[in-house]
Amino acid sequence: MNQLTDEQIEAIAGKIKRSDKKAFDNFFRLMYPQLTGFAMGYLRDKNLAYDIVQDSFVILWQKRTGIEPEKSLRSYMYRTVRNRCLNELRNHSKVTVSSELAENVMMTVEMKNEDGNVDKDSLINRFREWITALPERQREAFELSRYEGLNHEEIADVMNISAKTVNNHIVAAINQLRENYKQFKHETSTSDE
Amino acid sequence: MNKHPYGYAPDHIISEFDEDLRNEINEIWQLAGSYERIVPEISSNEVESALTDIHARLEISGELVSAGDKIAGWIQHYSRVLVAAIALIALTTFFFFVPKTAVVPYGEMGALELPDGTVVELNSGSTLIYSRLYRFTNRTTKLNGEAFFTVADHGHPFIVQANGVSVEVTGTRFNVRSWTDDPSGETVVSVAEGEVLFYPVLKREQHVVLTAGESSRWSPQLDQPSEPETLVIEDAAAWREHRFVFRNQALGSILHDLERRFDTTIELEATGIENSPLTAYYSQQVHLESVLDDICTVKGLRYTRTTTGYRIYR
Repeated sequence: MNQLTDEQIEAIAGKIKRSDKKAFDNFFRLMYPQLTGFAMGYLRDKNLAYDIVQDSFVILWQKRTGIEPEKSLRSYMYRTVRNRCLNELRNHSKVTVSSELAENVMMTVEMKNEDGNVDKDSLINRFREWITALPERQREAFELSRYEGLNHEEIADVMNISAKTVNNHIVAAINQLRENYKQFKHETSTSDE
Repeated sequence: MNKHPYGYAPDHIISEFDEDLRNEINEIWQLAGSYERIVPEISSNEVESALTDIHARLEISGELVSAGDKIAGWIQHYSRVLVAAIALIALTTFFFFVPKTAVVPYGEMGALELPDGTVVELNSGSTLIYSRLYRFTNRTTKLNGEAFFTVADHGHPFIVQANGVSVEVTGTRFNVRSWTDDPSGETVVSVAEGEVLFYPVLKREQHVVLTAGESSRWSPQLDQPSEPETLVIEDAAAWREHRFVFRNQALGSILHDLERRFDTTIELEATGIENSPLTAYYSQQVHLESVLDDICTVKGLRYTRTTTGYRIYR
């Protein structure tokens, strides 16, 4: 994945602030898939996720003069997308029930089990379940850190909480996963006997 | 789509745990990263089309305007008088030494009247520069692009300088086409009325005299402009009526014309074809894509849309 350095992001932010269309286009190209995946984590609906991410870029351009390049533009985008996803969930709560798409994804993951390393795949699936089962805020903080590569300050900015709280959430999430994993290893070893 | 499927937990996280737990934390971190997130496979085509949608939305709301487009919004589409006079100076001493510049954005056409009553119609993307002392000490203008001049009869000779060549007249009407980005660096002068002198800058003795219904071309490798040829002036200045007349014109130069008229970008990815000549006529209001269709059919090429315009390839 194209992971931009903080300096690159800051440079891009400065250019967009100065109405540089090219910088905007390139930033979009880099962030669109990642942000859409992030939005789908909330909405489980591909088209809705597309719309929300596109809206967020429209907003970014419209408000470009107010960009503060020294603040992370990456967390700004995640925050905008997250807020819109949460609004969407509030206003149309029906999308929270796992849609057809989410089921399809389940299917594909399970089908992999048949022709691969069963043990590892099932472990991976278990991780997926455990992460989904984490308390909402812990899960968000953990996922932003693990999958989006954001640092604590950026996550704090996205979730509108302090960096200290972010840290607490992530540590708690990891501890929970550790517990789950321990339990899992215990179960598999006893069932082998 | 995981960025670090097998990566270690970052230091700022690992440091939160006791030394003896760290291996375990790394393992958790890695395993948690191995599951496939529900990330849609997005092709670069999908990304581009999403970007096009965003551009369209921003254009409708009038947000996606650069400085050049602002000038464009200011002029009526394909319309009358354009005077984009730039050059704001702090010191009035310098005021008269800074020339005036008229710029017509891509996708627009413009016209301006100079202080002596001479009217200059400018094709898309053209620039005309003239001194603030124009009319008082001289009547010299500099052109990059294509313009049709209707010169007022006045004391000083009226001179257009364009990419190394001069056109000198008194009262007359004529068209000058001279783009710095033209592959052959060619300048073409076509006269509708009266008489002009056409010569390389500083080599006035090598002039060619052109009268109504004649044209001549010059490019830097020539000592002297070509002998006058007769022409249909309406075709030479077809752009004034928003028409296109390409007569044995190099493909590269045609594409530049299209880019300027339609305010777009056309990349030519096929090599060795830039100078290949083409002849075509289009009446008013032709669509860009129908011109591209024709070009591609004739030259055995294909084209595709990009975010900023088009790409032509073999």
